[in-house]
Amino acid sequence: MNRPNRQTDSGRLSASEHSRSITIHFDGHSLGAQEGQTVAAALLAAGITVFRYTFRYHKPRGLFCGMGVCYECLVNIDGETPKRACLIKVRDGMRISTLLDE
Amino acid sequence: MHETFDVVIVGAGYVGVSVAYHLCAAGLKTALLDSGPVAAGASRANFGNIQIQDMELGKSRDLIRLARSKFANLEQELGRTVGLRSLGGLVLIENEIQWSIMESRLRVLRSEGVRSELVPADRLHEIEPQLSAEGLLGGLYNPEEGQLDPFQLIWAYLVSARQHGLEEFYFHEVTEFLVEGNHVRGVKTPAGTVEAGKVILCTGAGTRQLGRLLGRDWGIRYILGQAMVTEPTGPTLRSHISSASFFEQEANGSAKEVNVGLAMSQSPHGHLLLGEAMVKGQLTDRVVPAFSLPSIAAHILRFFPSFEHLRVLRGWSTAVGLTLDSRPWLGPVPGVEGLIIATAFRSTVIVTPLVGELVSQLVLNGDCDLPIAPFLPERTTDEPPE
Amino acid sequence: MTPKAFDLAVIGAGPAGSEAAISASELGVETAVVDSYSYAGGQYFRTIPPAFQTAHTKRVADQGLALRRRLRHSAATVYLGTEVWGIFMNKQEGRWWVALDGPDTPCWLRAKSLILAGGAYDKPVAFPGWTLPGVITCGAALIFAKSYRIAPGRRALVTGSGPLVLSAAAHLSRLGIEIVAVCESSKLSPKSILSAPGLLGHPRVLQEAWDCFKSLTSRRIPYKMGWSILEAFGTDHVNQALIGRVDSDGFSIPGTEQRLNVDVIVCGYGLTPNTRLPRMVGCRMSHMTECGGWVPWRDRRLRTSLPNVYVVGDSAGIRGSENAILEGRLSGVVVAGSLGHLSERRVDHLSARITGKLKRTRRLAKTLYSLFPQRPGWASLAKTSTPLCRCEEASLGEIETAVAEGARSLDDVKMVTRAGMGSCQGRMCEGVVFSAVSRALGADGLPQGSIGHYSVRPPLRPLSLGALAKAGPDK
Repeated sequence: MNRPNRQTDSGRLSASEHSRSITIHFDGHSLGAQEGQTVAAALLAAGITVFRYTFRYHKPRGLFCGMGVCYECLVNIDGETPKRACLIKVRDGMRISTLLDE
Repeated sequence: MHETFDVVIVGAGYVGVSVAYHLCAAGLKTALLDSGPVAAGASRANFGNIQIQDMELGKSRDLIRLARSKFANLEQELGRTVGLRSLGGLVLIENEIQWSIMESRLRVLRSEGVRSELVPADRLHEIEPQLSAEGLLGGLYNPEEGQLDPFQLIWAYLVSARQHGLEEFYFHEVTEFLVEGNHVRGVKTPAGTVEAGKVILCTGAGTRQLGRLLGRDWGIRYILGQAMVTEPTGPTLRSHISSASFFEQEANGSAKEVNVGLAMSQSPHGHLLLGEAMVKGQLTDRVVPAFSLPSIAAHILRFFPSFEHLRVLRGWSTAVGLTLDSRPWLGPVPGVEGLIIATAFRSTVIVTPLVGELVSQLVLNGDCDLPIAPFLPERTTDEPPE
Repeated sequence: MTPKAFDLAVIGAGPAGSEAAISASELGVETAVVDSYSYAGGQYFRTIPPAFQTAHTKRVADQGLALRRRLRHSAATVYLGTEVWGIFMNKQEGRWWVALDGPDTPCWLRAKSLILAGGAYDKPVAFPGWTLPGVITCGAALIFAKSYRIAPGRRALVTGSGPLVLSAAAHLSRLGIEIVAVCESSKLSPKSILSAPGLLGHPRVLQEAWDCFKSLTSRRIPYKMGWSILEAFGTDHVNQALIGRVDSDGFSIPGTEQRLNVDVIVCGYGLTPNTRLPRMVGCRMSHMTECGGWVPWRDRRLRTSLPNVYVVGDSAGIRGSENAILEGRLSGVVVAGSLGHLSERRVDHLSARITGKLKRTRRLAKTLYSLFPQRPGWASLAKTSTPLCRCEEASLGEIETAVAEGARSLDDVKMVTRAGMGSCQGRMCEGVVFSAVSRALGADGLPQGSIGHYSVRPPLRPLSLGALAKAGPDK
């Protein structure tokens, strides 16, 4: 997981002043994230683009529609029912893992 | 439209497409009609389970015995896979009455060479590790039942039938029978007339209203049944599961608004098929009633609490035809030439290949491999189910 | 416990739904409004976390804030962060029962009338490699650029047709992402734009388009008209795109291909209405390509074929946010009239005013569609092995085989290939499968209606057994 961080600098302006930095975990690795981000945003910012593998052909999938319609961005969060990463907000200590064909 | 065929089949469900295939393969000019699209009724809602343990044990034993033998070469004959696989069948027993009903069924099943056994509650986890046996006395288990993909089976029959010249007419509702004297010579639909030497009704829940067109009051009832499917998941269920309360309820009936029975299996694609709720309603109503899916969910969780997080993708509702004595209608309609009925099979998948063959024999020879006296339409001996 | 009864349930609190709820409740209608997001405003007025706001977003954000404020101060009961998983008619009491799933919300509410305002989403176009991580929609790109200030990649190709392509490209460019090219299917000249009927009457739209365009030209980002993506390449992530010229019908012109090294491909080929709820409750639908696909039939008062059921906003046809706001207001007035809170004359008067303004928004929508129509060639991009149903991975080849074997409708194709049976229940693939079936049938003369659309059944979105069980009758 050595993709460079994708958070852009332009427009970050007051980001660091107003939003809290938190820690989340993805497939066992610790990641920095910011309160207010969705899981998808936090993962993308950390360079993670593969969220799951498909059931039939085991193909990698990630963000597609960004608004909860396509169900591509499903991930396991804290061991619960798979959730759409583009809709769920990050929480300090959240444990996220790739959804494999279960 | 005015067309002429050797045979017209009304009803494009499991039975209808199997009959269509066999008749086309026998060289008959065949038409298949349905008031809706392919497999619009109970067949589309079916789980595809090949069930033996729940068969009507009074007069249907020959039927089932012969039916079982038709799967060995099915995929070869159709030239396509239909997801056929071996699967166990488990009937859960909740009380003493059900236990004794299952005991008597076991005797008959064993005499048919079915390797069922009665499993006590404390051993149920060997068969279904995720089943919560609390409140259960045990189960009736047959390791050699089966399953197939209902859509693949229906499509396989249709593709083969088409290769043999089948003509299909969907969204064509039968509004009238063409009758000459006591001879049925075809059907009328809003789009025109279909003339045929023989008319075969494979119409499930819709059979009764067709009978009214002939001035007959046929005793085929229906209920509206609901079921649902979950997202795909890894191997979870090893058998298809039902409840012995089904046999108990047969005798009593129920007055609740939503009745819930147990029907569960895992499809070859990994989805769990979960059922079933039953309500009274209109024949053509496909709307899922408000409390059906919650009722099914609550019932399933009673037996499989670990499924709490499993997500349901879709529910559905359809009319399912039933007869009072739980035996199908199979054979010619008395007093009418040229009209055959083949419908209301309780456990349809298992008989589908056989019935297609039998109807084909009836049409060609007037006779078939199986004695059909117990199944004749309009029979008056409506004994209570055994 | 008997669920709370309302006169009206509004499903969706975007521009259309919020305005409907505000207008109805102002006129004395007991109104509930439900939205799955934690804030009202929908896609158009997405909350931008204060941490990420900039001057660009201020005007729209202010409008959104105003809308949210008005909704909060209205008499409507607002359920946010709540999903509707089904709507059922209780014939005995003549009310719709709305099934809810959300933290701290009741499982059911009842209402006499429904206003469905489900909005719209990007209409997918399938091309080889479209399922690779890194291929995203314009909607996704805009959300990430505007709301989260996250670059979805380093080097981007933006491809598709219409204003959203321009907007997505502009926003991404302002974030500092390198945009290698913008491919617009349509060929437009300044003349064709300025002479498009009614466009000159919408100076703000033109200004915004011009601003977006300037963002591209100032950074020397090529805006290639008459071009489209053809294929995406990569193993677990996109790393290359093949683009090429397309003719006026959107078919690729051989010999014009170019390869680009990219790590994100943003696709925007138009929007499609979200019609899940209208279909589930049984509204009559018709297929209208210029509206984005299957839409519910409506009369001029926005009523559907079902009594007391209205559909407003983009979910009734893609016509933009201004149109959505007006339709929301109109439906509130009509519902109030239907309940006797307004006289017929008052309803006519108010409706006439709104309808007058709707003429403008409808004309704008028509104009935009004429400039950026759906093109038949887009359906030719997919190859035999390209999955058309992303969820079940049913390929174009499998669908063509099904048609060759006798499948004639979406229902048939679904049965055979499993297209439409996955998690999204056909939301993504309906359009592409429809096009593929049309093409396979050679359906120039075939009525669109015969291919049909997917049926929608509850639950509206995947719902856990535990959550379903909570909604039982004895709870």
